[in-house]
Amino acid sequence: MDYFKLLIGATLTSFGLSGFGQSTVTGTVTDQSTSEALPGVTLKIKGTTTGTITDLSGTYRLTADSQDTLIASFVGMVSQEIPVNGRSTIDVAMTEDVQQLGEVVVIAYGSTSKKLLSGAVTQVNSETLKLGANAGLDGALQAKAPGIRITQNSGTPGSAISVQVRGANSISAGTQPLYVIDGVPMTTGDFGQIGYEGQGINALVDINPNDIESISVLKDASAASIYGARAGNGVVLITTKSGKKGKTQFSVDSYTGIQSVRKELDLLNADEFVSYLNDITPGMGDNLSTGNATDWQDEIFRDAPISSINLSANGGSEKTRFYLSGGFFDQQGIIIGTDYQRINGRLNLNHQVNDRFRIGIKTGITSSLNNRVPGDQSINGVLPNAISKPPIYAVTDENGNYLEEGFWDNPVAVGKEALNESKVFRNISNINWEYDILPGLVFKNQWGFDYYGLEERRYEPTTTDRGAESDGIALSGRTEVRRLTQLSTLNYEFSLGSDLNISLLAGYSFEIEDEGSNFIRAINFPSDQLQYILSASTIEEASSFAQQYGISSIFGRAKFVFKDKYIVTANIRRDGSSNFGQNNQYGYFPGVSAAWRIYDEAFMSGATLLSDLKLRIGYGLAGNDQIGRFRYLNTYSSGFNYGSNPGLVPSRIPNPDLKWESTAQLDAGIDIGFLQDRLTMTFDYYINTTEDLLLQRPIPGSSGFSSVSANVGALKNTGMELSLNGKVLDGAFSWNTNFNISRNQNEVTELYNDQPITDIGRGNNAVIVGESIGVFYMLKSLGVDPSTGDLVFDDVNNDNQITDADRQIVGDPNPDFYGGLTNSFAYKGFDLTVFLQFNVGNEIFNGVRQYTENMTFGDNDNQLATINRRWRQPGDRAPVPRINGTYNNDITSHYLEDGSFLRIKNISFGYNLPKSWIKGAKLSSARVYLNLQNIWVWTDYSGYDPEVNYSGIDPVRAGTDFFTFPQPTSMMAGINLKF
Amino acid sequence: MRKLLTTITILAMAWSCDTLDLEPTNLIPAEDAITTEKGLRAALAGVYDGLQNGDIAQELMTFGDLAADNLVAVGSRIAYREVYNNRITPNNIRMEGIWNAHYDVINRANNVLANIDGVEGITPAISDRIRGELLFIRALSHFNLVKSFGDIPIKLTPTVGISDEELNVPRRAVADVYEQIETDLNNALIALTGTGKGNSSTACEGSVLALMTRVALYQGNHEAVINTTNQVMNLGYELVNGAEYALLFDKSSENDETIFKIDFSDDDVNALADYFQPAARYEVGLNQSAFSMYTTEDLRIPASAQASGSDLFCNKYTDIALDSDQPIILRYADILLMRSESLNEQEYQANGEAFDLLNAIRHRAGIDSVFAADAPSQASFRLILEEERRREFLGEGHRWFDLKRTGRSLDVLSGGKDITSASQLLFPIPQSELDANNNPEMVQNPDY
Repeated sequence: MDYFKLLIGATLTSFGLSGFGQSTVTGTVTDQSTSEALPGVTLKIKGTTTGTITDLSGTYRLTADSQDTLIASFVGMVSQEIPVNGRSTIDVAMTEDVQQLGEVVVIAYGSTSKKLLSGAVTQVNSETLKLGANAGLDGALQAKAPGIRITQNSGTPGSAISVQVRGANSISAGTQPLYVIDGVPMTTGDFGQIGYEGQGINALVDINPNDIESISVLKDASAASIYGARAGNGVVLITTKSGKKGKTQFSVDSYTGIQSVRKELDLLNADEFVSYLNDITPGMGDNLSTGNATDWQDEIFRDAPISSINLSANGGSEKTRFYLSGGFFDQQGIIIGTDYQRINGRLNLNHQVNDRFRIGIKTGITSSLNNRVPGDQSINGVLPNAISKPPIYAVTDENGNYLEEGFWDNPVAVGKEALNESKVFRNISNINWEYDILPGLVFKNQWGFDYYGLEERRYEPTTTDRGAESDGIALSGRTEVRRLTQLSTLNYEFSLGSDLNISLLAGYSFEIEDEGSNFIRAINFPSDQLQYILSASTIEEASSFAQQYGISSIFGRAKFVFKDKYIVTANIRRDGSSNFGQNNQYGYFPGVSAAWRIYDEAFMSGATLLSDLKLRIGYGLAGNDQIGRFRYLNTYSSGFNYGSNPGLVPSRIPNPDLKWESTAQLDAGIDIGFLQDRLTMTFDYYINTTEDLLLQRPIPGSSGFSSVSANVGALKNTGMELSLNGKVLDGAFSWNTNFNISRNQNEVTELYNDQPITDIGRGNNAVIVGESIGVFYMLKSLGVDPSTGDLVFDDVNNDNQITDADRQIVGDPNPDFYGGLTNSFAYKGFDLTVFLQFNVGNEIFNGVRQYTENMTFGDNDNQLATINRRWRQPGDRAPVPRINGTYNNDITSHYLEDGSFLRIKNISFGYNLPKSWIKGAKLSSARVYLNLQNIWVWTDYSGYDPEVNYSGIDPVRAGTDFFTFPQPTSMMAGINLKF
Repeated sequence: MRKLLTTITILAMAWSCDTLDLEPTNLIPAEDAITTEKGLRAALAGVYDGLQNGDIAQELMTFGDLAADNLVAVGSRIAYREVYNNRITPNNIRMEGIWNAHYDVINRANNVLANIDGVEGITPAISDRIRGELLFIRALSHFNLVKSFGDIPIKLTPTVGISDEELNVPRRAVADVYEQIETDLNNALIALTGTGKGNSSTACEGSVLALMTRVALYQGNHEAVINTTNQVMNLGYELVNGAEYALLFDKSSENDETIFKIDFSDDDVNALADYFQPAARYEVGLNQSAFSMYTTEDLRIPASAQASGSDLFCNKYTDIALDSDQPIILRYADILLMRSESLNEQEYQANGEAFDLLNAIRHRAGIDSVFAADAPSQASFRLILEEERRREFLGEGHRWFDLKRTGRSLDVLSGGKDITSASQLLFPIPQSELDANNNPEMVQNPDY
């Protein structure tokens, strides 16, 4: 490219030579803050078209008249006007234009300054993400951004977390957002083949939060619809750290700590249990010994260590920059038999080939090992057995052999003896290059690859009840998901006159996902030490499977900024997906938004209190294509074998009209800054209307099928979001506060024939027109009848009978509002951050009480101590019904509880060692800190933890606790060094 | 540089053509499924596979004893308790299961029957054989439905769309359904002529004749019973020895008594053993009266009436480890007892053939024979035969339907069970069918 410089130089020189009274001016342009040379700065002679740009070493040369004025300008810097005044050498130091640029926000296929943003986008940066000890980035994002409801479904280490952007936009096609890492849409979700009942694994957890520079959430369709058929649930853009030029900086961040269960359930002890048995069946407890009593919760909960270490190096030259990191995360679960270990490595490399051509690679690899135990719903689960197994039984006999007494499995044996491991190897990489075709016109091309390999293994030895039945049971599964993505964009930025800036984007992309798996189950092993299927005598089940998915897209965007005050953005995408039926192969997803920076209007010059004021409005259409693979085709399925004959059967009634679910989203927002932005506020109001919901339309069973897939439903989410950021105090003692609160109202507006779908899951959730998704639909308890000791219910139809017809909506698993409050204080090297999370107005169905407070003859499960307050004789006013009460076993609102909570999510206390102390060690900074996570929860909920979903991310089974692994409380100490 | 750019762009465009042009890897287009002999045989296996559905191989089987006085619901399944208590609700999930599973099998069979003529390159012998098996399965499915629910839709064509004719079908009178079943069985018999007793996992001449016998007996057509049993008895079936009675239910044993069973390989699963065995989940126990109906020398006790502590259980389904017991649908002992019954119904004959057939079963079980002195009349012979059927077929799904067809349900069951009305003898039509089927003739059975 030196050729180009020569050309430009020669042109300018020849131009200059032809002038009169002119002389050559040279100089170097630097960045004032770093004193480093700035290449690419434009120098123009005011009032002419004559000009040049600085070369790689920041120097320039041009010919000017001695009365001329030079204008030096560069994106993101304050432009300067410098009179030549006869000088031949003029050096320029540029300063950053804070006012104009402000925070840079990552948006789809690019970035923009926050002040020129017109859609609803929330960005969370690395400092905020680092708060607390989180294995995955979704946990790190929890309660830190408005409009994004993140629920930790269970405390299983490494388990899936539920993320909903602005409410649930779908009933059956998934409500989790699209994740895009460094421009590459990621494989997410649970590919496990061995069920853990709502404690699924999560392909997101492979990303180390320490490697993340920022997470940007595109919340409305005007911002997200450029991701088309997959943007209906919002888009999460993850940007990993990249290198910064200059001296290589090393960083070490490490913490270690201990976790424990925050609360145990108050269950009957052995004596109380025996006396309860005698109450339920007189004489039944007489021969039972309480000599070997066991507190099963104590046996399965433990204090579990957690530790993490992250190392990174980052730096580079003018042309080549790198970010290199390695991390190790090790978390034991607070239930025996569970842990999660992860090793990460990352290399992000950029190289500037010449001043028009840049190349880069970003690659991250992860290897993880997750040990789990059978989960919530399994009658072989550790926690269900620990809660339900009567305390009169012992763990082991005098020889240390596990005892299997009574109906329930020995949870200690299940937890300690059974092997349940899953290993993941993950590589997400992309190579990219970009080329400046003309000034302002850039072509970018990126190839991304996401490999997810999952190996699962279970072995149940003969020391467990189930293992003994079959002489050892082994399951082995392998899954591989490969995703190839190609992205090409052409971006053109230019100005028309001095007031209109235009940015145009056109792009083309495709993705192919290839999933393959195999699975084997075998029994009858010669020894518990031989746990691989090689040693089994009987293969019970073996299969392999593959499927592909493809999406091909073109998209475009135009952004107009007039006088930096009026901003209009319009975009459109056309997506073709292999999930769509022949009659709807392509979908179009437009979006448009506008913003008005009122603050920059002349009439606002008197408003000294304000420092910013912007109105935004946006509208767009986004889709959800996760409607299953090939559902539109008339096909036969295999695997329906008889004897040794392979079989084929008709798969379904085909629906060639099948298409994506589509959500129309309207967003209106306002951004305000007060007092030089010491206080900033963002408020948004939105209405999301989703149509063509994919539902199973019921058809008569006499047809041979029970339903057909069809786009028949509709629902609506409306909500408000507010976030406040304040620098309350600065100076020696500083205090920053961040508050966010969100409200979302969900309403199902259409179902097939508007028939309600009831009795879903263990909490009797329902989908009913006019109500929010997953409302609890059951008999409404009015309390215990003092005369009979039975529960009494609201007799809705007044027929003096309590039947199914008396069921009603008694609660909602979705909160009225939720959010977080963070206060950070700093004084002389000390810092303290207190992070609160709140969630108000939702109900939880406590499925544990339905089994451990039901006092039912024959079950003989251990019971909660609350049964000591049961009804015993006529006249008793008791909160708990009688033994063998008629409705004790039923799903009724007697077991429904308020799920509101306020949680101290995190307290972090740190100290930055004074420079004088660390100089000797050649450190540039050193911080030691103490971190307390989830240490207190204010709630009326009687179970382990009010943040619970026994069925994982499923929106229609939300809000039920069914022997779910609780979140731990943890204490950690850490150190952070830079050198 | 521009060349590179152009090349890559073109490359990218070329790739994209493949992105949407994907074929399913685990599914085949319907039009390609049944075009060759291989495809036809696979589709036939798919129809048999439908019979492995738990609602057919397990639930209907169990309910035939649970609704009567043989089995007791001792576990947590509400659907089972409703059946045991003879208070079944239209929302009973297993009623829906039984209904849907049978129509699924019928639909699978209809799909193959509709395509069999388009299969190229097969001999008439092969296509006849397969057609015969399909007709047998369709008849068996309609028969299971009609004996459980009364009037039911008759389905003879595959469902491939959502038209009114395909979805909103009426209930048809019991007599019409039996007529269709007999048509299918007659055609099956012609198609399967010469296949003899075949193997018990697939339909053959013997299974068709055995099912014809049962269908005739359920309609009280004793002449037909005599006729078809004559033919079955020439095919080489034999009772196993009394000492090997339990082996009948062991899938690894080969025997000449089983006429038709639902095959379960090691990798197929039902929960029969799980539900029957106290060592496992134990949802169904044995009624005390059924437990005590055997005399101590009866060789059927080890497989039939067992106790583990105070838990009584039927021990015919034992495969806890693999969960793949193979329920027997038709066996030779039933042929003999059905013939015995029809002979007695035609005319009581002291110590005649009816006695011989009954005594063959009793002799095999190691218990004393019955003579005219014990059963001096047609009516008393009926009762003795009824008791013998109960002992012989405990846990095999006969008792409820036997009592119903002989009109004895209310007399026999009203003692120990809560049966007060004949309308309880029909299972309710599943609510899901009533909700989704818009045909005005799709109505609920009385009193539900």
